[in-house]
This record gives sequence, structure tokens and C-alpha cells, in this order.
Amino acid sequence: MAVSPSTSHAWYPKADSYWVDPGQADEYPFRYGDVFSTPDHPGCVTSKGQRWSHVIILHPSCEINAKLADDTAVLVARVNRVESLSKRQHAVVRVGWREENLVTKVAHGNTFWLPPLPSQEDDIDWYADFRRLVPVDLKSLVESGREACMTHDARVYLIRREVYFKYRWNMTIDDAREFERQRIAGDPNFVGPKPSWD
Amino acid sequence: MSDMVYNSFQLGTAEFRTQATASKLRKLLELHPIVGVARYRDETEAVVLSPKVFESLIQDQEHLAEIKRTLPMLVAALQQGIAIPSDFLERVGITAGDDSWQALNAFQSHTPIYLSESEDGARLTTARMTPGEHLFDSDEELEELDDELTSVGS
Repeated sequence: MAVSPSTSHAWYPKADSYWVDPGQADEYPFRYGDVFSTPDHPGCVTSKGQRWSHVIILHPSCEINAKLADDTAVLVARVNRVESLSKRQHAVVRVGWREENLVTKVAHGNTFWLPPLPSQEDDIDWYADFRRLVPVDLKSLVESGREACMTHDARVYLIRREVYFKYRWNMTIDDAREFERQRIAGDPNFVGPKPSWD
Repeated sequence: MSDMVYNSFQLGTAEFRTQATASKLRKLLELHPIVGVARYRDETEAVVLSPKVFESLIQDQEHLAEIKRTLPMLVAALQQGIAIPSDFLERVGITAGDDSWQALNAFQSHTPIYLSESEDGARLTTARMTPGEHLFDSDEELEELDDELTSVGS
């Protein structure tokens, strides 16, 4: 599929393009961007001892696919409800930028907005927090269960946002997609359906 | 604040005080924020407002005056395609009105956004990158040599 160049710096794709249809999710191995129920791990709790709702995998895909071992440490980040933030932050987190005196600034770069998960009955939305990271063992993560399988399209947006947070590099979404396309094309261990733009 | 409304309010307060009806009026205003004063059943001669309603009316009046002042400028800016700061629009009461995630996601995914600054106000640059040839990864795992190094050193 040809993807027309995007000149917009929008941080997020359309909500309906985030998750693989649950009926097809089994075809996709666990990968960067997938959301899991919170595993039983002492690091996955708030400062008040409350267990996180969900976690998102921020670990490189190849480590999960090609080097499966129960004690493999997988890096996950906390996934929290947008509603848990103060009301004035809701809109800012949902778009990832703010405008002040006609200057558009990146806002809350440590967050990545997520729409409701396919398993949800309500319409509560979420954000992943790149500052709340925990390495958990793969076995406990698998046992806790995957709740949402991220599409290749949305994963590119996640990569772009995380790269910005870590290095303050503002890649265009087209560049991020092209890098991922070439990475997948050259990955001999790639498993599961490939993106439509591959 | 409007002089006319301000003077009427002051006059009314003084009158009610001298006639010892202030306490009765206060009780009435607790029940009804707007009280009409009439000599006959269908002939209202005056209207007494609670301080809260009065303040609200003054604010509305000032708001309306600001909209009247800025409307021509807003229309001219829109016609010229000039951007208007969102805090200015909020100040004159023009807001999106709906910050549901559905509305915001649709807006941000369809509307071209051009970021110019980081969170800290640093200039944001966007480099065009050219992906290079694929580099193959080595499967070799990192071997920790701490024990060996310790034994060599000891």
C-alpha cells in the first residue's frame, strides 16, 4: 500500500486503527506496543501500593520473538486512565501538544495516548507513561494475559513518540514508518502478518 | 461596570435600610435571587437582585462588550487565514466545547499540526532522514566476565 507523505506532526493515529481485531490477534506474536494485564511484580504498583491497571510492552520486538525464555526480562510501562489526571490535562494528553500564543509545543512527552482496549465495555481512554518503567519476566507477563494487540500502523506512532521522549528527536511519521518498513523487510526472524505498507 | 446599574443598586439598598426591611429582603433573596417590587399585582416598579445575580449580569455585560469589540477583528483574521491564539478565543467565550477523547482524536488525526517547540520552549527541528541498508544483528549474547576479572586481579 502506498502511503502518501504526511506533513502533519500529529502524534496519534485515528482511534479505530490502534488495535488488531481480537479475532485475528492470535496470528500476531507478542510485540512492542501490546497491552497486557499487570503482571504480579512488586514494581508494578503505585507509591500507595495500588496495582497498575495495565502495562504496555516497550521492549524491542526481536527480544520477545527470537529469544523466548521464561526469565527473559521484558521492559513494560505503566498504562493509566486519562481520567486519573487533573481535568485541565485531559485534552493535552489526548493530543500530545499544546498551543500557547500561537506556538505549538510538545506536551507531556512522557505519555502516549491510547483509546479503549478491545476487551473494554466502557469507553475509558488511557495513556502509557514512559517514566514508569519496570522490567518483568516474560513468563509472568504471558500469564497475566494480553489485552490488546497493537497494529503495525499504531506501533510506528508509538516508536516516534518514544524516540522523541528519549532523545528529543522529532522524526516525521513517514520517516518512522520507512525505518520500520525496512527493519521488518530485513528481519529474518519476523513472525506474523506484515504491515500493509511493507 | 455600568454607572446606571451601579447607581440604581446603591439607591435601592439605602431605601430598604432606612425602612428597616433589609433583613426581610435578605431572606427573600435567599429564596429568590431576583425579586420584583410592585405597587399593584401586575405593575412591577423595580427589580431587586441578589449580589450574585448582579455580579453575573455585570460580567455578562462586560463579556458582550468585549465580543462586540473583537468580533470585527476575528472575522477579518479568519478571512485572511490568520491564526488566533486559543487563550484569546477562550477569553471571549469561544471554545471547542467538547474535549471528549473521540472528538479530540478525530480533530488531531485529521488536522495538520506543526510543532515548533519542545515542552521546555526549545526550538524543535525536524530532520528528514534517509534509512540506510539493513544491518544484521549478531545473536551472540554478552558474556559477563566479572568472576574471571576478579580472579585475575586477586
